[in-house]
Amino acid sequence: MTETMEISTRTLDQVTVVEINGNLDGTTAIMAEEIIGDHCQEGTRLVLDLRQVSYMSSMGLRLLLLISRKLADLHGCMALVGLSDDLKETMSITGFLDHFATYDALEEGVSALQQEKE
Amino acid sequence: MHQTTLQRIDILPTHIHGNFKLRCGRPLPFGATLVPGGVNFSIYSHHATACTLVLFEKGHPAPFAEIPFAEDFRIGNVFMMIVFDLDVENLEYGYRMDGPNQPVEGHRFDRNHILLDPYARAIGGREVWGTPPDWNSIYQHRARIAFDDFDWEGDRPLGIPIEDLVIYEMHVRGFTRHPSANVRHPGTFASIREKIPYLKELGINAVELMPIFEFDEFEHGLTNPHTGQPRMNYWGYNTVGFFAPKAGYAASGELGMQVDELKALVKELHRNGIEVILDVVFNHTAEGDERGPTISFRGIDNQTYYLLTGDGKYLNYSGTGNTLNCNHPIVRSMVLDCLRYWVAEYHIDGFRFDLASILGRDSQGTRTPTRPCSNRWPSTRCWPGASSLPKRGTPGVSTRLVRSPTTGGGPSGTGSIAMNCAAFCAETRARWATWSSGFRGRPTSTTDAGQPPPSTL
Repeated sequence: MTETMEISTRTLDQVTVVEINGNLDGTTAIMAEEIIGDHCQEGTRLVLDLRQVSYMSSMGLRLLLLISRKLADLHGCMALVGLSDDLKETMSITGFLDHFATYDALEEGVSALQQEKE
Repeated sequence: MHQTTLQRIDILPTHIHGNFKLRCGRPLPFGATLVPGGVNFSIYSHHATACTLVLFEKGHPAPFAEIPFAEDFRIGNVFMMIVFDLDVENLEYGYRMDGPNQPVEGHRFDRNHILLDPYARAIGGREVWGTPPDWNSIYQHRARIAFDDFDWEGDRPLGIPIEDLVIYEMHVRGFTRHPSANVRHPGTFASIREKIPYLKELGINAVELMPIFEFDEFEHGLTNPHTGQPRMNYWGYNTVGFFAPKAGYAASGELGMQVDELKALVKELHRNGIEVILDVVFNHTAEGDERGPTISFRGIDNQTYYLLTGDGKYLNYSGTGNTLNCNHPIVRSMVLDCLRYWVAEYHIDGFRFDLASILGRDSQGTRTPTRPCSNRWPSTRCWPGASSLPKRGTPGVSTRLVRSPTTGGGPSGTGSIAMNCAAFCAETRARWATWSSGFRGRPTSTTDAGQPPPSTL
């Protein structure tokens, strides 16, 4: 089943915040890769706001790691915000969680990346 | 990232079948492999006259497409085809094989069966342990695509000297199933990971996992007369797919992420100085004899994959109904491909072979002095899987090869266990280690009896 998904982007204190609204599956993850990829520039600090994402398939989790690796290659960094308990658990048991800095609140994520920049 | 070369011309479709874009595939590797824009499907059958790829949406009872392999998509005995624009995460695939149905000649083709790819790297159908499947489904064990993109972050073989190994043999489900284990997902790969501090406390530096290749816990079809509950195959010494981890052992099996979960476990065990040995069962498959289910090998190329009598009956050296024809060139390659795959893709440190002596039988079932299967497993220092991995610690880190102390005589065999063991060890020129059943069993028996260990240990 293909889900609908929306992405909005803004900048908060020189940190790019990408908010995903909807589920990330095999189809929407490919769309998201294209959109988020456009915001990945040299040195980009990116917060992925996932408070409105209740389900991520294996492809969705792979998208997170892919963006993270792309940003690392561009000397940037990334944080995840607002993972649901279920998503966090899935990421934990499959090893994905080990790769990310995660925060409950958006402000925490933005603040952490700001400090990293300094 | 700048493009430094032209796009390849062989990633574009050349054929159309219905809504599907196709082109002739590549013969190797066997199995379903992700390629740019599509999936390469490749399967061997010496005796099949035609092959059809059957595609399902994940979990759906009926296929959404059946695509015959065109004549020019076959080279020799290999059917190969690239199908473009598939939703690989949502895909399950199988094959229909055409060919003679002449059991006396060893052929059991039946295109009514949808067959599991012997090289399937992930298998659906039994995702959650003990959850009854849809018995009306025409495709019970359903091949899926694995991504093979795990981030190992530099993980390398530990290379602990074999004489220093302290091995904890465990059953994945049994190890944490009891509430006293106090874990989030009892009976899973994830829970072994959760118990790593406990394993370190014990002082062990290797775990040997009882069979984790996909198997069918419902295979007996029997019911406990006292409880009315189905009787499960708990132990798993009855392989359905040699390249796929048991989905029901993964907390994430329902999400189809058993591959990631197992790899995450291996990585974390290595980080904590613990090697991983797999107990592998290559001597037979879950298809049993003539009365067993047709899952894969029987319908793909029965005469190639099984040891048969002159009139097409199954030779039964394993005591389970059939015997894998391990010294046929194709089956031998499959076993080797499988071992390499688990070493290279899952960073497995060693293997314990169930009824290993069966690997020394020729296509007629006779013990062969040439042992083409096991002899191709080279001396440990040039083991292909291990040598293709970066090494850490002492030079020449090897993959451990360990045989079970029991033989593969089965109902058709005549040799004693002791004689077979001695012969096998001599044949393999001491490249293999052997578990000592006496040592392994005695501490358990004394512990169970509440007695101190005997001095004979």
